[in-house]
Amino acid sequence: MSPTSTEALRRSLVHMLLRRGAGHLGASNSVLDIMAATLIDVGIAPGRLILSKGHAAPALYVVLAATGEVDELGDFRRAGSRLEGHPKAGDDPRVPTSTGALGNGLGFATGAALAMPDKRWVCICSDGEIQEGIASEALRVAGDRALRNLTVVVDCNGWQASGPITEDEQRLLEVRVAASGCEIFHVDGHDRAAVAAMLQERRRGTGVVLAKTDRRHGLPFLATAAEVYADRLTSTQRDAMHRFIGDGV
Amino acid sequence: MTVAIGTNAALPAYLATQIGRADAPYVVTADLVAPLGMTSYFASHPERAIDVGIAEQAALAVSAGIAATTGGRVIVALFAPFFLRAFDQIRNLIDLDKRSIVLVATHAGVATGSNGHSHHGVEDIGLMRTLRHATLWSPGDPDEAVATIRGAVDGGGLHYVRLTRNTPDVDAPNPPPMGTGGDEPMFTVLAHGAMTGVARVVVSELDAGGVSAKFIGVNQVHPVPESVLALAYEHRSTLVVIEDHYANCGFAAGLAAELALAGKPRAIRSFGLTAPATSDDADVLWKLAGLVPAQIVQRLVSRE
Repeated sequence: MSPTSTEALRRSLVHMLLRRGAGHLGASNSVLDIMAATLIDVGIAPGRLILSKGHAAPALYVVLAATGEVDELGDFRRAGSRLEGHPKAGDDPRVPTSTGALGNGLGFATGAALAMPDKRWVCICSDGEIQEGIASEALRVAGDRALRNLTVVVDCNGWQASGPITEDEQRLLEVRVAASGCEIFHVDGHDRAAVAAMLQERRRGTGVVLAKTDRRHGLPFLATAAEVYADRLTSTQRDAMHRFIGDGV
Repeated sequence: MTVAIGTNAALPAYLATQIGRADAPYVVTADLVAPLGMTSYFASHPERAIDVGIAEQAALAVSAGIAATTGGRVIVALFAPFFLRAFDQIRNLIDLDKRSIVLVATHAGVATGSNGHSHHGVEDIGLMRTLRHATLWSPGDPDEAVATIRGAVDGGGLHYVRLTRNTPDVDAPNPPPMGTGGDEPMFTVLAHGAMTGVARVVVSELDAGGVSAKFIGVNQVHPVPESVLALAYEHRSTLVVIEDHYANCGFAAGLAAELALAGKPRAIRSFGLTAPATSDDADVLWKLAGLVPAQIVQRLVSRE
């Protein structure tokens, strides 16, 4: 199995969170294929990917590990490690900005794309995150400036901390994006080839890709799409995760 | 040092006492109904419970509108670091206009552990201290926290109640030792919130080592209570502050500023964070910050 295959990445993600006992499994899993398409299939440099939904950092780290960019998954969320719970920039060129406070990454990405128009930038955010005022403000600027070198991918997994995102709220998201002047595209967020093709498409302006995803995708042991925090796993979930990664429990 | 349950649970515990009451408070949050244990309250009082989604600035602005039209009994509940995202609304819509709102800030300090710096609330006291009409609280145990929230809601005015997910799991003596040095101990150790138990252990260990020390638990961290200021004026023992907050802008800094403004400056030994914490379990982060009792005692005794 290739270490960059979808299955291998998913096992690596589960293994890392199971071993550490911390981190957001569902939100990381829903964005994993988008992350792989961006960094592996299209080859966007990690330093030009802004993970605005910073709580999905495990997905970023797993993909970086698969491409040889990091080798310390075992140190995830440990003092002294670069692999913090939410991405932290510091001196690490692979993380362009610190995230974890939702919405901010969109503004950062807009500024970076404005300042470096000859480079392609990708910003990955969550559907719930678009509720932040700063997200709408940044999208308005990005839409107004028609940044052909910026693609915003929204991981539409349909959930936020308080529960499922309603259909009305999902429609509102699309209305907000459309009103910003950005171009809207739709894609299956678990179809890596489709996501990659979307990222490589030439555009007239700033593109916003609404990628439909499922937090449970490829993880049959997850009973619901509600977030699974690795520090609150039940013994049943833990056993199922061990079986999934094939370590003989 | 491991971790124990902190004071976050005081919020759902207080709200449980309000279910069904005619004067049940309005509660505003930003996508944190379940994480803050408010599901029952939101189900019981849908007309007074408002989840604005992931939109902290809207949460504070909405609460100001409710407070202005109802006169008060309004709670805004967020993680402590997320309040910082809405400081403009707190400053202009709430503090300036003297609204009666209780800001319940859960997950303060570094107790959110491995989530990392974006989720650590370590500068909130410094920022909220600049508000003109706010009273800041940092209760040391769940019972005190419930009473603090209740008193704040019932009393009116602007309050910021600082709660924590965890506290260091220390074997703190209760009641705290009063020291061996009579009225003039060598050290007067003040602490609030998650560090209350740590301070008790520090005093106990100093006491056991023949070093006189006195413990003072501080719930109201701003304005500094008159009783604490009077003690600082009158006694010459070394003032020590232990807090899960940046050392240079928390309660210690507020105490120093009040003393200086009164023309009676005092040196304070301040134990807290000096740099952003990293990602790790809370007990590891407290140790890295030098907030373990043995570390503090060693530094006090050796006069480091």
